[in-house]
Amino acid sequence: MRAARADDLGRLLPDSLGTTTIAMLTAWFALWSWRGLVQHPQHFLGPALAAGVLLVVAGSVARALRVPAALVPLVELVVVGLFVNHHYAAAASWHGLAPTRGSLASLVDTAVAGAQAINKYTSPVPARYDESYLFLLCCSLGIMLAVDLLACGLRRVPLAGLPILLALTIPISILDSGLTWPVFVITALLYLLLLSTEQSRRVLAWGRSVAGSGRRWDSLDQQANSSAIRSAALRIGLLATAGALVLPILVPVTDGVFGQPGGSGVGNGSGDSVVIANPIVDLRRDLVQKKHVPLVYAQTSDPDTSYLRLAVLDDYTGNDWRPSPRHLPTRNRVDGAMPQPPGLLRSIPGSTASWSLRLAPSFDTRWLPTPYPVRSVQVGGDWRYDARTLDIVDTDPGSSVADTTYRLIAFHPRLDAVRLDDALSAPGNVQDPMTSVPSNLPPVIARTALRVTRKAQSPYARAVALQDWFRHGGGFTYSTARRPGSGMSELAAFITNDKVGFCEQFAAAMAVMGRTLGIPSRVAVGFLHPQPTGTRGNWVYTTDDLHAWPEMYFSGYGWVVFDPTPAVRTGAPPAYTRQQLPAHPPTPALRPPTPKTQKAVKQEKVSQPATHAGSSTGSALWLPVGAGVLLLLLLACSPRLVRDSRRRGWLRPGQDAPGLAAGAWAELHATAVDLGLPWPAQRTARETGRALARHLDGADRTALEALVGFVERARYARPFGLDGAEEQSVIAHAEATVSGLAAAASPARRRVAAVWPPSVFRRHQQSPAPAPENRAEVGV
Amino acid sequence: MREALRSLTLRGRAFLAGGTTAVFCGIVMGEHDLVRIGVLVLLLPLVTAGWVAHAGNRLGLVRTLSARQVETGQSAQVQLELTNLGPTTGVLMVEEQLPYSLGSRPRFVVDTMASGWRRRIDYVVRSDVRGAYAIGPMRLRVSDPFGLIELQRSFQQTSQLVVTPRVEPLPWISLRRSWSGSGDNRPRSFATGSAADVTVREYHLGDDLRRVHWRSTARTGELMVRREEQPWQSRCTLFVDNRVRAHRGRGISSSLEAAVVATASIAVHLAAQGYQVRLISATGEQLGHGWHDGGQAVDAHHLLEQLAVLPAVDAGALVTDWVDDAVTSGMFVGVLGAFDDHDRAFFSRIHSPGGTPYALVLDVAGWPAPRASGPPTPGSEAASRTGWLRAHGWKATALAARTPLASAWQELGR
Repeated sequence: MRAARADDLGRLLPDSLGTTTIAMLTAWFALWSWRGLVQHPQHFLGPALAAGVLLVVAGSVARALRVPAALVPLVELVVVGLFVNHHYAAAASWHGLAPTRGSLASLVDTAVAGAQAINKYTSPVPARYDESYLFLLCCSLGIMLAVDLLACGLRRVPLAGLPILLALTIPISILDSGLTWPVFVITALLYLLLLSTEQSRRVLAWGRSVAGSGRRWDSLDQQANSSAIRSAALRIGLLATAGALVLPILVPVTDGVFGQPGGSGVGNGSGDSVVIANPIVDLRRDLVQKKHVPLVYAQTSDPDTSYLRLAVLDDYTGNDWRPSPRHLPTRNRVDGAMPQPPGLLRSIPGSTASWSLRLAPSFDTRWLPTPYPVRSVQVGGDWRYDARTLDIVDTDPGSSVADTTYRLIAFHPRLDAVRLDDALSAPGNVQDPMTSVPSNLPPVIARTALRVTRKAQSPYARAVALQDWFRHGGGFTYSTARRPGSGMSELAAFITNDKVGFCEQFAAAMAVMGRTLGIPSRVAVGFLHPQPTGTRGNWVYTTDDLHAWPEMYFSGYGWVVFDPTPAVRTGAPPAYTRQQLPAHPPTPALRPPTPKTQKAVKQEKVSQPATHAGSSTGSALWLPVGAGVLLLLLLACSPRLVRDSRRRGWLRPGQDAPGLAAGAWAELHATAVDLGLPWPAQRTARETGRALARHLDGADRTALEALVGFVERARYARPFGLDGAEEQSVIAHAEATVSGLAAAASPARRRVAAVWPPSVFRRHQQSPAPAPENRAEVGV
Repeated sequence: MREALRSLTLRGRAFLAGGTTAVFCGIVMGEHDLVRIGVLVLLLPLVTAGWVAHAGNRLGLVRTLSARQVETGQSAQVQLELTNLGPTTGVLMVEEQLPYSLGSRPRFVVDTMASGWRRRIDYVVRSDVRGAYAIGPMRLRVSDPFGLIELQRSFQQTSQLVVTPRVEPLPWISLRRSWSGSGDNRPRSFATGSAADVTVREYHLGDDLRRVHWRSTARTGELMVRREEQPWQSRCTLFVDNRVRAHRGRGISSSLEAAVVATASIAVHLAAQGYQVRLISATGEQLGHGWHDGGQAVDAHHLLEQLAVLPAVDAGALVTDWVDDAVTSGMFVGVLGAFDDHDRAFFSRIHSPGGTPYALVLDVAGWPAPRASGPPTPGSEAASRTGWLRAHGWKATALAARTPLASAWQELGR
């Protein structure tokens, strides 16, 4: 017994060891795609490899010893568990090896903390949260065990692709960074090798082993072994992998139906794009607490120091406004000149001012406060900007931002209400994502927006109308006592009944309403006004100055600041929103802007229902598509139409007897062709009728015989006149015969005849009517 | 290529479907990496199909049997020689189609063969059931390294293997024959006055001068002698009753098989003694017939071949149209089962004053019945039948299930 076991071990171990090793390596290389999750990936990849080696040894020895298949995963789990316990909780373990209650509890606690750290912090998680390595190690071991169980235990290698796929796709969804090509290639080739190893095992076991000596046949030169299969597998695998590397370049990939800017970076490294904490959370807390903590010190001669922006919340989820995932490749590092703000024409005049700023030590921010728009920024550290929002993010998670000093040149475009009023609609890449609202948005929000802006004629006028409604038309009250929140139902309550809130609600509500009106809108978070400190030109922004305001997009000017928060908090709204709008036709004189006159002007305007800006572009798109579909339908129906018109021509009343006979006969022939019935060629009417009569019975057969009689008479008898009653009966007979033939055919054939009658495409189907002179001779 | 794509396995189809889905999802969701994985999964069956279509699977096959005819229980060696007629093949799986009686189907895995290479495969077949068996056609399975495609090919060619019934050596016994004047039953040459004396042959040293045929010698210019060695044929009619009703049991343990073994043994025994054996079954067909071919003895192989495929017939009465003067006056050996009154009339006709018919009567009741109504009851029935036959001038012996054939044969000669 023991000898047999040892024999088994010697025979089965190489095979088992090979497969298990390949499976483990495949899983391990797939885990390399998780590198971007933490700062030092070797801290979990290294232990994972060590545990994988243990797993391979335990698994292959257990299988070679023919341990029951259900027990092998348990053995592996115990071995790997002991390893993890030793590696992470040796102190609490008995002799550093055997797990105790305490060591297990500490392991679980650490793993849970690691999971939380990974959830909480942006990837890569900083090295100081080393509990995340244990969590990733546990996930890695789970993947490895699953691959081992499926590929080696159950021998279902194709299914083992699923955990590998899971491992490869997790970073796609979390990291938003591309799968690097070496990881992809190595994983793919190893997986294919695993697949072919399993297949070659099956193939070699298929043939009967002659004389039990391992010989597959008695050929002189060599034995069948897996090397031939493996070399073919390698060739096919390399070809397929190369194709998988090259072909997707040609595949047009959308930005995703969910409006998420996808990881469009192909192989450009990891950590480009991050999800960043929502600054509005801090805003609520700080506004309510009123702690007067200084956050930013600024030194500038700029006359306009308001609206120092931290971040842009451009994604309304229905629960809150939040920053969409930022795309932050290395080339977007903040180093001097900034790109032209989106939508702002270079020709727009304005003034520039240089700033010098310093972040207070207590300000733990990952967003850099800047005015908007800004011409250039000079800052140390790994700050990067997002090209769409131009807000600046710290991408170095380990660094401290305290006391960061930076210089910038702000640009204040000279905005003009008249020009803004004439602004064209936004381009599609701004219009579509920036006007999207959740489909289940309470309709009262859109209704209220329409009602408030019904007198405004342009998007800009509507935006101003909204702002004014919030500030003094709608009866809103500013209070930080309100419970924070900008969910859909809270906003609906806020604009209908509640009407008490602080800047978060005002900004969120105006931005959502603007979006329902088709104006691209978003919320910006930052500081409202600084307090002057000390000498002239020195300012400080404190927690009290935190503010949120909507930004709306107008072509040519880009994102324009509005402020719906009442004056008790913000003072006067931006100057351009106070300018009088030209009436239609525009009045040349710009009167001093007062709320009263503005109201008066607005009342003069002709009432016009707001139209959704997207509708015009939509209809423009649908027109050619609809026309194309219609054309296709027409094309598809045309044989049917031709056939119908021919039938009407053949069986029309008012023909002479030979004409009607020829027509009826042609109709009969066409019907037979349509239905696929045999139509004997070059036969007399009577013989043809006899052939057709086999498909008919009862009244239809009688009708056919009557029709044949009429045709014979018309062809061969002396010419005769046709009275109305006979004409009707001939047509009725022809129709009865045709319908009888159709009823005799198979349903499929009938459908073909109805939609695509083949007779239309046949030539010479109309039996030529006998020439009149022949008939005359016969008559004589 | 199209053929390869048609023969995708479930795994191959699943890869195609999964890859397409992944590519589609990747395009819709904007995930390049999902597209890349999907393209890999999608490409794999396609590239494999291309590889399978490109690799050769055109093989030539020569099948050689070590013997076309083997006795029951003996083995024959089959040799397959595969020649690659096309381009280099992949690993091929070869399966020979065999009837179940010849054992399990031999399967071989044939490694990559370059163009023009040959491989020889040997395997052994053996059967315990007599019959004529077709070996082949050979089936070829072309697989790929990933198990995504499985192509089946079949050769046309088959070979015939005849498994003859077992032949037991029989002791020499004295068989009385109508024309045998002495105890020696060797065939003799006839002396004079036969049709044979018109044929002549060249003079051989030692020929009697009195036999020189002078007229032929004058015509040819060489000494010609009359042929007078034309032997008398010792003819024997061997009858086997292969009706289902005359026997009991099924398959190789039935009494019919014992009858076939007895018949084969007798046929070989008689043929070895120079008899021309005419073999006749219950349906009257002449299984083996060499009376008029002038040879020395009928090839026993031919008889055995016929006996190998002797079926159990479901006929009622015996067909008797083969009975003629040669039968009734010549030697007749019958291997009989359970015969009834109707058959007795026929058997009584066989006997004529000229010769003595011999009968080996199987004690059919001694064989186990398939749907046994009771245990085998050997004994009385066969005894009454042999008694009846003896009373009608036959020499008859009962052959019980456990009696050795040789001893029963010995008994017959007594």
